[in-house]
Amino acid sequence: MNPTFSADVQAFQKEFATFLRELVPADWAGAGTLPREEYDAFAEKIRGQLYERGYIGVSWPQEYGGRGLSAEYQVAIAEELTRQGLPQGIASDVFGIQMFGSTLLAFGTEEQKQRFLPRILSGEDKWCQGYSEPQSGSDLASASTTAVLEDGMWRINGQKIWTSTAHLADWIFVLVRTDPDAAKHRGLTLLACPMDQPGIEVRQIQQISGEADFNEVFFTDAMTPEENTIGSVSDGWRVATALLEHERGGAAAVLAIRFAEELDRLEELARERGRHHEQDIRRRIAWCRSRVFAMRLMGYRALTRTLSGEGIGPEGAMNKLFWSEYHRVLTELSMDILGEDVLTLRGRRPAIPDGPDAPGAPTDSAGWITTFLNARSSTIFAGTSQVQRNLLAEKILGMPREPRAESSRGR
Amino acid sequence: MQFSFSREQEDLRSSLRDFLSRRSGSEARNRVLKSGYALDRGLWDSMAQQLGLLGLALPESVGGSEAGFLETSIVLEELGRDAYAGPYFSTVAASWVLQHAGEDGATTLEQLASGSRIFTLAIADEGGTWARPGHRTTAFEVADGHRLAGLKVNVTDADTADEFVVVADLPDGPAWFRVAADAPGVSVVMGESLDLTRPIGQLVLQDAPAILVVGPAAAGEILADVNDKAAVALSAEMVGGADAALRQAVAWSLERTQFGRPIGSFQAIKHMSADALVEVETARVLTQYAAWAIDERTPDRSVVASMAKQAASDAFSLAAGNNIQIHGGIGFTWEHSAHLYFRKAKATSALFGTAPQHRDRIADLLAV
Ligand SMILES: Cc1cc2nc3c(=O)[nH]c(=O)nc-3n(C[C@H](O)[C@H](O)[C@H](O)COP(=O)(O)OP(=O)(O)OC[C@H]3O[C@@H](n4cnc5c(N)ncnc54)[C@H](O)[C@@H]3O)c2cc1C
Repeated sequence: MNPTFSADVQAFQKEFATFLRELVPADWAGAGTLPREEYDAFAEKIRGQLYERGYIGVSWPQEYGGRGLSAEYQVAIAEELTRQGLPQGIASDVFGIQMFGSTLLAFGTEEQKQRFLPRILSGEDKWCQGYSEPQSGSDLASASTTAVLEDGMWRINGQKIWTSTAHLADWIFVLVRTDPDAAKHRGLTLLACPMDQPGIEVRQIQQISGEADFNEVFFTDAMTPEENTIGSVSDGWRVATALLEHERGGAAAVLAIRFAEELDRLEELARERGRHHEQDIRRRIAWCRSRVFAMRLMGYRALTRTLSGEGIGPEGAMNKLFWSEYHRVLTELSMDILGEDVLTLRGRRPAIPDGPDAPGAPTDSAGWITTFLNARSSTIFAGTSQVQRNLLAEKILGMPREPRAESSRGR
Repeated sequence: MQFSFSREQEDLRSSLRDFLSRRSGSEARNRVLKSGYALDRGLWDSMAQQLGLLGLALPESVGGSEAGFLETSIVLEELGRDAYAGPYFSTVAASWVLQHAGEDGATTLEQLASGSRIFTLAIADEGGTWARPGHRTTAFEVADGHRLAGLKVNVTDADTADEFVVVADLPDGPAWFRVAADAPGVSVVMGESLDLTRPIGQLVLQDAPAILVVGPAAAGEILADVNDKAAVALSAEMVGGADAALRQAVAWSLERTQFGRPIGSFQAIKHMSADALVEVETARVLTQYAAWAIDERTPDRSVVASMAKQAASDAFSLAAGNNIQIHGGIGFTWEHSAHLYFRKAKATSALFGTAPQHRDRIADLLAV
């Protein structure tokens, strides 16, 4: 038992911190202090500087642009970025690096890794995730967007929905049905597909906060070459669910540090309003602190497993359920501290549409209210809380699946 | 980065679990429910001598094996899972004070490690707490030592203990003393304990002869240390108890059939269980870290001890409450062990600070 970074990682983190301090002015108070319109460009700029110095994707093998370092370094980097008030990458990194990149490392061909991975790290290619459909959300395996192979090209028809950052993406990894006759889990394939083509139309959808970060994506005879098949044809379910593990699991340790920073800001809010002496508020803050620390430890536990070569497995579902439900409670607390100031949105809105805002963000009501609204998304995306509970009950506790309705059995 | 137990620690856990299932387990739980609390001396002696559990973290010179607090927490978790009815926590907690006794302490610790004498802590005065005992128990010096006068409340295993480790005020401040249960002027009044596996009583001291263990200079620091350790030790016990209650509920949900299917296939039951699992794992990681922090004496150990205690209290209450609900009518019967855990959840939460009290302490320590 030694829940600290190794000496090598600590030295690396120190060196990295020195490098980061050179990127920002001496009185830097965090990216959250920037005007909201400037945040995305700032995040891009910092990411570019990190890339130049080889700090993006350090845990990937060297031949694909990484440094072949252990996952520990990756976590150390993310922690330090937040500590220094800097963005942990750009919005599409979740899809490019965390999900697609990790999946390609496990399932991709050598040629695919050479072709895609370096461009993901450099930021040249931005990715989005095409899983959900209007009729297939939690029941993802019922996806009905089709792809047919013709002369070495897949022809794709159908519709995806809720596709985050699709309006900014160069590529989509899309779950399609390639064998309409097979049982529903067996006829799926994961394809990489370029976005810039006449067969793809993207329409933004406005969210409850008023922003439009997700989209409908229509495929009408969209084309992608056969060599963009990820994993084997009809093995898409296995590939897609492995990818979901990356989406749910890995994030706990690095998210926890952002949540801790957010809690600092919440305490600041309570102090500003003289509410920090109230026992109820103090107790709830203490509960939140414990939760965030536990999140960090769950992340370290997952990291320990990763380092020893075991997968995270169904525990990823626990981490996802844990942080998303926590964030709802935290944002409710912020509303209680604001009191009647929740009536109007004043000041700066958050720069980050899900999870905690950027480090150093002001305590404006518009920030907290928007984060409160957005907290309702994380218990839905990447599998709803109900779906995670089903997974935990079945995969960890060994409880039986529910009987299936006749009509959804097979296809 | 290694946030997991070592192979040796996992071996300790599995051999202890195996031992308890043979020597204690459901038979012992049923005995408590049928005939009330009675210490199984044979089991206690085996735990001490065969497995070395009482001297686990004590020096070799007194018969211990010099393991850490982390190992102690593993033992407590397994005892909590078993709902073990005996003064393990009380005795080990007393050793945290007795270890500071110097020369005189060696024999006492030997007796403690061998299981031949049972110890417990007597800290809180009436109206006091474990963290702030009060000043109503006083000590005065006599020719052959000290005499104590006062009343200590909420003393765990008060009727089983051969010796009490007591906080009492000398003229220059609180100090720690040792008082033998059979000494003149010592009597015990037992209450009706909510926790059927941990009797609670009051210790009445009427000019009782006492031996000074730690004087006022160091006593306060040791009291703080005891509070941190007790919080984590009880958290470990509660994690074990919570996990046992959760697993008992799940096992029943697979066995019991209604509407033609196991009740464990109903989502209402699955989601209750998944939520309990999340709380148990939350408490588990916090407890595990806090135990390590105590071994390493990290600066954050008091905060994380409180974090663990409040999380473990919540987790145990939820899991044990769910367990009764998931069992239905049978879960509400005296014969069923579900209430054994439910009682333990509430009672253990109240020892060494309730969950809200620990949240207050977290807020204080973090200067919210
Ligand atoms: C902000 C945001 C961003 C998103 N980004 C993406 C993205 O980039 N790419 C992508 O592919 N998808 C994305 N999604 C979609 C997301 O994955 C789906 O919304 C989610 O899987 C739920 O599907 P659904 O919306 O169809 O709801 P449904 O599946 O219809 O669920 C509706 C309700 O029924 C419950 N329910 C459904 N099945 C069960 C069950 N078996 N047991 C118990 N309850 C059940 C759900 O928990 C929920 O409460 C995003 C969603 C949001 C909100």
